[in-house]
Amino acid sequence: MPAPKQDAFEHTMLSHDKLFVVLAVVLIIWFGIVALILNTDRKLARLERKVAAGIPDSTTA
Amino acid sequence: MPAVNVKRYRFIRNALVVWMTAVILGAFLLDIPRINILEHTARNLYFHVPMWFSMMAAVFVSAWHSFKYLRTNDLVRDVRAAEAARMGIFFGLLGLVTGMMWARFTWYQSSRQWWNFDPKQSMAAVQVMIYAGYLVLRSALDDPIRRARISAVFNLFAIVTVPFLLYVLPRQMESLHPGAEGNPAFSEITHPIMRLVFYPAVIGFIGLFWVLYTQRVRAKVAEMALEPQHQF
Repeated sequence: MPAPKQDAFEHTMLSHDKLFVVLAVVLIIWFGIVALILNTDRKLARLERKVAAGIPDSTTA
Repeated sequence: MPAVNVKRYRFIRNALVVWMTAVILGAFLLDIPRINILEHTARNLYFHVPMWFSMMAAVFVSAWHSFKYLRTNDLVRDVRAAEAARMGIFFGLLGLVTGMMWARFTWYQSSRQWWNFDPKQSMAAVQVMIYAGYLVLRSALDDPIRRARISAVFNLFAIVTVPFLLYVLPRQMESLHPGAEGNPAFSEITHPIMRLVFYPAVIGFIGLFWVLYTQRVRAKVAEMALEPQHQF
């Protein structure tokens, strides 16, 4: 018999044809995409500040 | 005047993060009726179908800005039209690939095909190619003003094909895809629980299009401001 302490999470993940495992995977991907969007926004903000300050081309690449 | 309202952008982006997280939770946690053949793949309704809604939103946004470009000659409109079309292709390709994956294990479960020229899929592929043609046309023109004007005209012709290729024609032909004769796409048979997730998913994915599109517009506008030859 497995220890009941470990069971709760494992039991949930294995129930409903293991559908919650897919949910976990999709959530990981979604939060990855969110992190990417936020990261790009930070870069855009930095670039826009540079444009506003009127600094012409230096580290465009 | 900045080309993009960054404050509004941030607000919508943050709302999107919360909204889509809720949609994903609903898509998996809410129980759905198990239908023969479809089984759990019915949940693809929440993900595959919104790709097409996002694509249509993208190409309409694109056509709108092409139209505005021709009236104002504002190059920011041209940037918006191009980036929206790019995202339209992106979501169109995702729609095609996810549709193939879904069809392989439902329509073609026994015949084991990935592609069988189903009219709905073929027309969707043609639609994506028309927009790819728009980008190819753009890349062939060097002068920004000429490129903006000629591609705007092409884009207005492209948008006219959308209702025919994605809606009218597939429904005239024999197709396995829901929406054909005697096979409703979305009707009273769709379980209320599924509607509860589906509509927010459509809104969410259109929101995702908008965020990605706005990012690209911001990047392009900044790039143009930093490069003297693109001064406008």
